[in-house]
Amino acid sequence: MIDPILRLYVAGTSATARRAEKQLAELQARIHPACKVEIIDVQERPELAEKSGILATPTLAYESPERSRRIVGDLGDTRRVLDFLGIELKGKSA
Amino acid sequence: MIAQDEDMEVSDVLDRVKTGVNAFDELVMGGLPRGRTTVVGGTPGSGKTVFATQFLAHGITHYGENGVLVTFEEPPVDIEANMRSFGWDLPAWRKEGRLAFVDASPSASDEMVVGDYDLAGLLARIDHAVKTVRARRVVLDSLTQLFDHFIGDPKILRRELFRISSALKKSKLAVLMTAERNNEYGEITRHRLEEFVADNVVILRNVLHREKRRRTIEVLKMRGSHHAEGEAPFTLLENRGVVAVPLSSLRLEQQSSMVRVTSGNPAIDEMCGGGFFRDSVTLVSGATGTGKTLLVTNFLAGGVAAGEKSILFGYEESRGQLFRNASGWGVDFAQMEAEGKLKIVCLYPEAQGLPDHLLTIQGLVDEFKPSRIAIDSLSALERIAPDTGFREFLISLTSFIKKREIAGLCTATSKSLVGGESVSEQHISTLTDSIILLRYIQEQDRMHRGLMILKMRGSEHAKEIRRFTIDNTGMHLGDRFEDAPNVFTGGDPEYRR
Repeated sequence: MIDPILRLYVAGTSATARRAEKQLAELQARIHPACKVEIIDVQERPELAEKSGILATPTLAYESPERSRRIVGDLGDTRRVLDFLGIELKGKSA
Repeated sequence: MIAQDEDMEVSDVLDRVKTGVNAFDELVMGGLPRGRTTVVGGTPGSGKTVFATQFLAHGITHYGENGVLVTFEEPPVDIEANMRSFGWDLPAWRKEGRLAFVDASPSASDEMVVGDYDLAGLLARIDHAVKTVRARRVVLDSLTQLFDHFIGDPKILRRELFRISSALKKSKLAVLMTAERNNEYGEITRHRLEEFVADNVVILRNVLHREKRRRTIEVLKMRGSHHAEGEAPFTLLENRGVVAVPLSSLRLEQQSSMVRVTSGNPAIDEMCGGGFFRDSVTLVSGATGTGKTLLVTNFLAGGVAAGEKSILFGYEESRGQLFRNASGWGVDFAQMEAEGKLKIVCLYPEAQGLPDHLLTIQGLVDEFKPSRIAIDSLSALERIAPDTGFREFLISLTSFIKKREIAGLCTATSKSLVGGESVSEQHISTLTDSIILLRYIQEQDRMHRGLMILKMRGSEHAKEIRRFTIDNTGMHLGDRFEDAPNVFTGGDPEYRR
C-alpha cells in the first residue's frame, strides 16, 4: 500500500511560493499521524507538473489510494483545507 | 503591463507564418505574424480545432517548424483520433519529436480554488514542451475551457493569460489561441478574451442559411498590418482540413490571351470573329430545349477534334442522358472518354454545398488538366445557393478558369421560353467574356430557333440574329431574321411589326 502524500506545487521563490510553503508547514503541524510532504518547483521540474496536470500554483495535492484532491490558491484557512482534502485534524477538538 | 507590451512593437517587417489555409494566408497578407498572438473565435463546431491543428501540421510538414498543442478540452488521444481523417498523423509527429502536447484537459481529481493564484504551472509546462521539441508554433485550444475550470474571479485568469501570451511572444513564437463564441454575430468571444490577449482576431462561422450550412472565415483585426475584409467561405475536407475559397475579387490579374479556339461549330466561330478566346468564359443562355446542351457537346467535341482535352460538369442530366444526346447529334462521348480526351462528371447540385462544388471542379481540373471546361448548367447550381454564395461561387469559378488559361463554356436556363433574363444571367453577364443567346422566335404561325452573340469581349462579332435548326448531325445556322424580333422581351406583339 502506498502511503498518502501531500505535494505542494509552487513556482520559483516568489512571495506567493514562500507563503504557501509556510502555510504547508502550519498544516503539517496539525496532521496526525504525520503525512509525507513534498515541495515541487514547477519551473525546475516542469515534467512533474506535466505528469500531474498542474496548471496553477500554488496547488496542494493530497494523493492517497482512496482519493486525490487538490486545493489551488490560498492555503491559509487550515481547517477548510484539511476538511476538503479529507485529512483528520489532530485531537479533533480544534 | 500594457506599456511593456507596446515596447515589443519593434519588428519593422513582420515575419509571416503560413497557416496551411492558402486563401486565408492571402487574406492576411502572407500569413500570421510571428511573435504575435492570434485568437480564433467560433461557435462550437465551427472548425476551430481543425484550423488550429492545421496551423501546426502545416508548420511541421512544410516548414520544419515544430509545434506544441496545449489542449484544455479534449485529451490528446481524442485529438489524435479526430484529426486523423484530415490526413494529419499526430502520433507519428509526437514520436518523432516534432509535436508535443500539453495535456490540460479536465482531470478526474476534485479541485477547489480559493483566493489568488497564478498559472505558472501551465506556463512552465508550455515552456518545457517548447524547449523539448524546439517549437516555433504554439496552439492553446480552447481558452474558454480554462474559464470553466477556474470559475471565480475572471480578472485573475485574464491577468494570467496576458502573462502567458506575453511570455510566448517574447520567445518569438507564433501563437494561436481558440475561444468560444455564443452567437455567430454577437460579442466576439465569451469572457471577451480577445480584448486582453489578442493582437489578431479571426472569426470562424458556421451559419445555417436557407437550410444550407455555410462556413466562413473572417479576419476581424490584425494589429500593425493590413488584411482583407469580408467573409471568405470555407469547407472541411477529408485529408486536407480547412480549405478556404479565395475572395478572388481581391486581384484581377488574369492575362488575356488573343489565341482563338473553336466553339465546335464553324458558323458560330465566324460570328464570334474567329472563335472563342482561349482563356475566356462564355455564357450560353436560353430556355429549355433551345440547344444549350448541344452547344456544350459541340464545344467539347470541337476541343477533342483539335487534340485538346475537355471536361464537362453536368448538374442537370445523368451521364447516360448526356451520352445519348451526344450520339443523337453524331458525337461519340464514350469513345472520347476511352481515349482519355474527355471527362464527364455528373453531380447532383444538392449533393454538396457550393464551396464544395467549386473545390470539386478545381480538384478535377487540376488533376485532368483539360484545355476546355463546360458547366451545364449554372442555373441548377444557383438553385441550391444562398444569394451571396452564388455570386462568390461565380467570381471564384470564372477567375479559376482564367487563371488556368482554359476556355470555359457555361449554360444558364432562362425562365421564360421566349426571351427574358434569368437571375444567373444578371450575375454572370458582368463576369463572363462572351454571351450567346438562344431563343425561340415566332414568325407568323411558326416557331423558330434563333441565336445571337450578345457580347464578345475584346473582339468584333456579328450582331444579327441567325435562325438555326437541329438535326442528327448537330446544329445548323441559317439565314438571319429579316423581320428582327426582340429577343429580350420575346413574343410581345407590341414589338412586332
